[in-house]
Amino acid sequence: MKLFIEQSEQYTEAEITIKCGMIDGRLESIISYIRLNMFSVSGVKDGETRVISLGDIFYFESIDDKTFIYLESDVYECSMKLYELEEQLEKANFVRISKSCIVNIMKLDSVRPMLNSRYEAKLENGEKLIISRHYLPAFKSKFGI
Amino acid sequence: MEWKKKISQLLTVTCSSFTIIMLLYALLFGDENIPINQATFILFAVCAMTSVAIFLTDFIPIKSVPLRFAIDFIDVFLTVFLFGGGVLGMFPFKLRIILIVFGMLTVAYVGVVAVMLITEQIIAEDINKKISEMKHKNID
Repeated sequence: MKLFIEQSEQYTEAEITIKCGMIDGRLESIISYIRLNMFSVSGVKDGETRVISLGDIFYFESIDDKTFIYLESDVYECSMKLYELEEQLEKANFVRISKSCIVNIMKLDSVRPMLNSRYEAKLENGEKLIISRHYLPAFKSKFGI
Repeated sequence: MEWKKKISQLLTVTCSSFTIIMLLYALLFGDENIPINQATFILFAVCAMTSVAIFLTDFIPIKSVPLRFAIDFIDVFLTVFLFGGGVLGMFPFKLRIILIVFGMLTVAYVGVVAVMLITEQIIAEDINKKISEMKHKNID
């Protein structure tokens, strides 16, 4: 694989082009990483707005018609609806795990089965989320299972 | 994909419950001169009917785990007593027999739940392996 980087004052916005015959596992993980880092969402906390990189987000949760962004130890409110985020993040490392939650699979530590065909997902910061059985097939397919 | 999983689950429940029930049946009624061919088919029919009943009530969206277990249990007992005992005449409705059947069903139900949990544990291990691979890939 070759990597070309052209740096010049004439470019106002960074552009990434990948030329390939077919997308293999290695390339797929590079593309996922780029996707994860090139998009960002705005979050509001205590009246202040911050642009948050997807790579820092642990999960999104919808509570009482409001969407919240959960970072390692911070929570921000987001103006987007959960279904809008789901559509936009479909090809990134995010997957819907319940009616109210979309998780960043890169922040997962482990999963374990619970009774009643549900799973518990443990995140890197120790938080635990429930993967409901309705969303389990989509969750598994994100890992190629 | 979802349907394939459901059908596979239905078969797993039927086969594991049938195996457990057959073993218990042989253990408890093995010397009671009941034709084994007839008993085998009746027991299989009841196990299959029970799986279908659980499969259908599974579509009811219930979040509570104890309530889900209670519904599954009701499915099992209603199917066995109404279909097995009533329609197929599998056993007489005598207190002693009812208690034995109750015990057999409880053991079979716990056994099937254990089989399902083991299957889910295998899936969880696969996912955890992929998570760990993904993290190593990112570190490399």
